[in-house]
Amino acid sequence: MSIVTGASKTGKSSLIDIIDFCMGGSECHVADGVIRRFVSWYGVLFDRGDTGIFVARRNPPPGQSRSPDIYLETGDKLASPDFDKLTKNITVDALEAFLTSALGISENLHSVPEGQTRQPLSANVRHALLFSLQDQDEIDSRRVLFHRQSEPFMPQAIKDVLPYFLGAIDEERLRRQSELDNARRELRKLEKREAQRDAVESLSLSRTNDIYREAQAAGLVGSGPVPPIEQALAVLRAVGPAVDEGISEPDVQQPLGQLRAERRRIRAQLAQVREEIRQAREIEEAAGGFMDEVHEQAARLLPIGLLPNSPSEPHSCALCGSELHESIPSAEEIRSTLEEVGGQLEKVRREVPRLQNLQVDLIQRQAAIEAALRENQRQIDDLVAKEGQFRSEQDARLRRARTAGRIAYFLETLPANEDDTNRDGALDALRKKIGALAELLDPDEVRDRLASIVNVIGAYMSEYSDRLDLEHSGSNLRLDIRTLAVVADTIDGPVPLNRMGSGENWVGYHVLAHLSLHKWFRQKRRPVPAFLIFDQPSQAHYPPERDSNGDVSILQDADREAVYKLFKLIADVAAELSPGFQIIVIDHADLKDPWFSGAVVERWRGEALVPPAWIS
Amino acid sequence: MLPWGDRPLEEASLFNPVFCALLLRATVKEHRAAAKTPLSFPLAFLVLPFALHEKTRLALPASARTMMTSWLVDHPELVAGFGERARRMADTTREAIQFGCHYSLLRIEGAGLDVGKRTVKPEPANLAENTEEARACYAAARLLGKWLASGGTVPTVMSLWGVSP
Repeated sequence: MSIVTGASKTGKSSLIDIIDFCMGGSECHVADGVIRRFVSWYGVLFDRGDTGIFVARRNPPPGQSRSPDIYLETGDKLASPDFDKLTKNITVDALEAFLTSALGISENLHSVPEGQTRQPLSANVRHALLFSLQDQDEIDSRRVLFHRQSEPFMPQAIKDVLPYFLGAIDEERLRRQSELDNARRELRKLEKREAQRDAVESLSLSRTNDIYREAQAAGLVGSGPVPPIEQALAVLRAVGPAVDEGISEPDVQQPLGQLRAERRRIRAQLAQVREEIRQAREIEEAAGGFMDEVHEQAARLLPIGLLPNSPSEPHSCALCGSELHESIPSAEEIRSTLEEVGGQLEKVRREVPRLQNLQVDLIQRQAAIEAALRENQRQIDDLVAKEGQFRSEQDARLRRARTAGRIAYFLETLPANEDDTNRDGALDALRKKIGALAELLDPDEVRDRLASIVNVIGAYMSEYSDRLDLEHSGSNLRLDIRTLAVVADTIDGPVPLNRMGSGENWVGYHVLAHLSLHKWFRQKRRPVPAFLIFDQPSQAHYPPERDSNGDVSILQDADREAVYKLFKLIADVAAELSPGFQIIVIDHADLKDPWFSGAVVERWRGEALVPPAWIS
Repeated sequence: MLPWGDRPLEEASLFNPVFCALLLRATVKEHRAAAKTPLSFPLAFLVLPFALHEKTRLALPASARTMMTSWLVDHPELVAGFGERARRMADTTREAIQFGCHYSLLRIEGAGLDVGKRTVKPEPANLAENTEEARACYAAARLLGKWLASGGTVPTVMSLWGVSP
């Protein structure tokens, strides 16, 4: 717990707006006043345990709320850089993408139920941040539970992303969804082909190819690849029933050779695509180590090998690694730069490359290539079978006559071929696969999981509520994610937050809900920023107008007790979830107890966010 | 590195030290023009895996106005394999730096790399005999020079590319 305490108008509440702006907000909401007039850049240093991320944004000029200038820096043991280093090196969109990936948000998409017109929504850092901030008007609101929930369209967006952040939606879901779409497309294609085979008047490309190759094998038409269908049919029509004695020996080897060459080409493509998929998965697994401690080492930056293996080696050249008899000054300098940079980077994580979309493309390409391979194999099989037939038939003339007859028959009717049982098998297999995938993607399952997660969070809330004197303390509390509100289940029926009375209940339930949510987020290592900011949680008992140097002894016993209990609960939960979690409390109150004063990081009485010296 | 004569012909000529040193020089020169400082030594090892990789070249923006950080965030598929490519090219880069310094195309200045004394006329990048591909390599190297001049601190840049020295 870190506490910023102080008088009104010292810039305490602007901290939330500054953090929001530096985490990719499109507009700067810092109120007009001293801060807007005397600050040129806002900066936030994020501590990821092993690495730091520093983001600074230029204060928009007076009267404007947007500014494109952003400076990003990452590194081990990072401190806020000097002012003169701040220059634009990243755009707002790229910053958002960077933070989204740094937070570990995998690709995800909330698919919109059929019949609704809104765009599908992909959760990003901006959504994750909604659960980490509570400004002073939100924390005591009876209608609004989450940050920015009162803005238009925001309640729907919060409802859409909440299942992902709670972990009710499997990370694999997007990939499975694309596999399912693919399989469905394939099924439709197969079914359509099935239907076409039954229709007498439909021209099947593959049938024409077959008969054309058969004609080639019988020597009735010239060799070479099969021309487009119209041309192929014209050539076949020109064959006619009469058999020319002078036609050369049938050559099945030539078309077979072509097919086999093509197969080798397709195989090579397939191998390449499979290799790309394997690499993508490998990189994802290695770099995606944020889920998996075992891969932590692999998730480190890939060393290029500039540093010699043992840095204590006395005189080896930093340039070539070979021994030196006397050290060259610049080589020494280079070595020290290398070691310095290497040290700074030692603990830096590789950002998780977001490769799932790439994989989806690759999987689609793989499916197409595999289909081409199957088609090629079928043609080869047909041709080989016919070759066998040729051998068994002794009279070449008869053979050609037979082929010519088949061509004539084909041209006359272009009928459906005899039933191909193999194709039925493929259809069945595909249907089974679709069934299995659809089951994995069952929306009921997401609902069930969500219900169970919400129950667990409700249990945390009920447990914590015992430690505050709220109207419904001790009854069953739950988060209603359809209405985005806290509901107490009492013997007289459910009571939602907006039907409870008094400001202390409203603040209390906001605090309970957010503490419990973050307990869940941390336990499940969900990609939500591991901090929580409460602005003025004491306001129901110790309103700003009663502030006298933060002293709460002027309050009545009941109020003083309530303020104490609320802060104590926040401090205890912060301790419970640490390390790796921070609660920032911004308030007027300044308790004398050691656990409170020990957590105070700033005390702005006379001082302020903008030092008086900057103003004068 | 294998002795010159033992290298496979294709590898030896594609990654020959003259061409590589000239690419490095192109990056260093742009960097010097934009940042007024030598190119920090570790960053020199980004040049060859960047400029000699065809898929990377094809994905590059037309002008340096697109910020490097933005481009990196938009192309995870190219960044993902970069560390491995950089590792494979490290020896080649070292050789190119030694070669470049020997012939004064490059110069070691403090802890960085700078343009050497030798003036090369006409500018190798503008030779009429250059293939389309060679021209694209020079263009990529120059773009990287501009990018590195404004990309942020050395650790920031290297961690965005996913590599360490």
